[in-house]
Amino acid sequence: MATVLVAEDDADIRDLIIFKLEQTGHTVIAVGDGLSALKLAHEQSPEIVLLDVMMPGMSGIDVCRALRQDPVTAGLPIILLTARAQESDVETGLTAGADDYIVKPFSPRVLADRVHSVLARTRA
Amino acid sequence: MNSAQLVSLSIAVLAVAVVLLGLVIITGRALNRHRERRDARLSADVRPLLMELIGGDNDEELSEPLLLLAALDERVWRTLEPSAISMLGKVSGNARVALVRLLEQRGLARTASRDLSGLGAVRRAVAAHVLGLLGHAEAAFPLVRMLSDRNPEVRAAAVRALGQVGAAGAAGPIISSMAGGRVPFQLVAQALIRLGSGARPALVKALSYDDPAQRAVAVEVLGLIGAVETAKVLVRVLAGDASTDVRVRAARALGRLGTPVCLDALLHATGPGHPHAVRVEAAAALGDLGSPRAVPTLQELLADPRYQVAHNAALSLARLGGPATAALTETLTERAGTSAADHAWEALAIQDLQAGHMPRLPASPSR
Repeated sequence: MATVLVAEDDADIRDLIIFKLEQTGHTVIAVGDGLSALKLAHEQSPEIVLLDVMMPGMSGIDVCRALRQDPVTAGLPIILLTARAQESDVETGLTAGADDYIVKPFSPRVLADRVHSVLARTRA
Repeated sequence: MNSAQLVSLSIAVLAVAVVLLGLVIITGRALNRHRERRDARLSADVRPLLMELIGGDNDEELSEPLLLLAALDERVWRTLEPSAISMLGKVSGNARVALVRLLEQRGLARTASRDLSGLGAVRRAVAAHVLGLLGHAEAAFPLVRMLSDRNPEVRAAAVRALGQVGAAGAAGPIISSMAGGRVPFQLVAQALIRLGSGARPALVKALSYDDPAQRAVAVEVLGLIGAVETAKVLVRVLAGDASTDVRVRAARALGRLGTPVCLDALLHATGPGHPHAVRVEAAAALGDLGSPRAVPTLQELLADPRYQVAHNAALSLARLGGPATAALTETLTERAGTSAADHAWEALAIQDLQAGHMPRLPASPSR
């Protein structure tokens, strides 16, 4: 099990992700904006990061890029959460260094499985 | 009473009115804050139950939170209902099924169906929106009726909802609702795309409608849903529709469908006998289609006197790669100093940039 950093500005989605990941045994640190996510990624040393693409201030893609450019966080596995209408952002996100992406609307179970498989892949 | 007394009295009355208004505003705000705090408190107590329901994996895990939420006191439920409704559009799979079951048990579909005939436009639009989110199949017929609502927001909500409900039989009425610009093109197209192949018969029928906007939406959607069996019909539209806009969209649709018959029609549509806009789109669509058979025609088009035709032909060649790249390189060297070489140079540079490296070409031959 891992410490997961979640950055999602929609409180309903954020609460659901927290519930689902905690239910599967992870420890979750959740924030509502990109800047806080960047700060906590350094302070709390999470093992994986879940970033919503569309967030106020700093987008998930910007955070992803910043994490990849910093040697301390460059190796962190990152999953992007993107709305169906923003699927063109997926390519940008993957280019920015994301390991995987989940399209909204999403199944909480699929999200938990995806976190598990990305963690397994990066730990291997 | 003299005028000075009258002025004093007016000022006093005004001052009292201002104070009263201030009190009303302050009291209203305080009441609102109190209500928000109370609702947040009530909601916080039961919100974990909602998450448990949505996050559950199987019927066993869902049954208890479902029972408890379905039996919640109405006052408490009202504080949770906006979150439950908003989550409907954000989750899929078991989570969505569980939410729909809860909302059906709370009577939301019944209330929304009743509200469709409400007096207020906002109430009717919200009702259509909720029925769409619920994917309530029984709502299709009343939602079709809402397509002729006097309020544009209600009509728009009904179109969206019919797409979400997946009522393929509503495709015809959805297309008809566009008449006279009563519903925006984009909304109609999105709803029809959601209906998918079920909408195909209505879309083909719409190709013969008098309204060019209705024909245009039908052509566009047939291309987007990949209705390859309609390629021959779309070829006829490309060749002879009365509206250039519809022909342009037909070219785009044929590029997406990509069958051999589409290729021949698009190659023909790049010819000089066709309207400029159609030639431009056909040149671009050949890039979407992706057949190497288009290379000789596209290479010829690099020398077209109309800038946009030649430009799109070059971009299509860049997208095709392989023999198309060779054709661009050949044009660049053998037609040096011509506009064809300029277009080829630009396309090769774009190809390099898209491959992630700086253009390896020398400066444009014309410069």
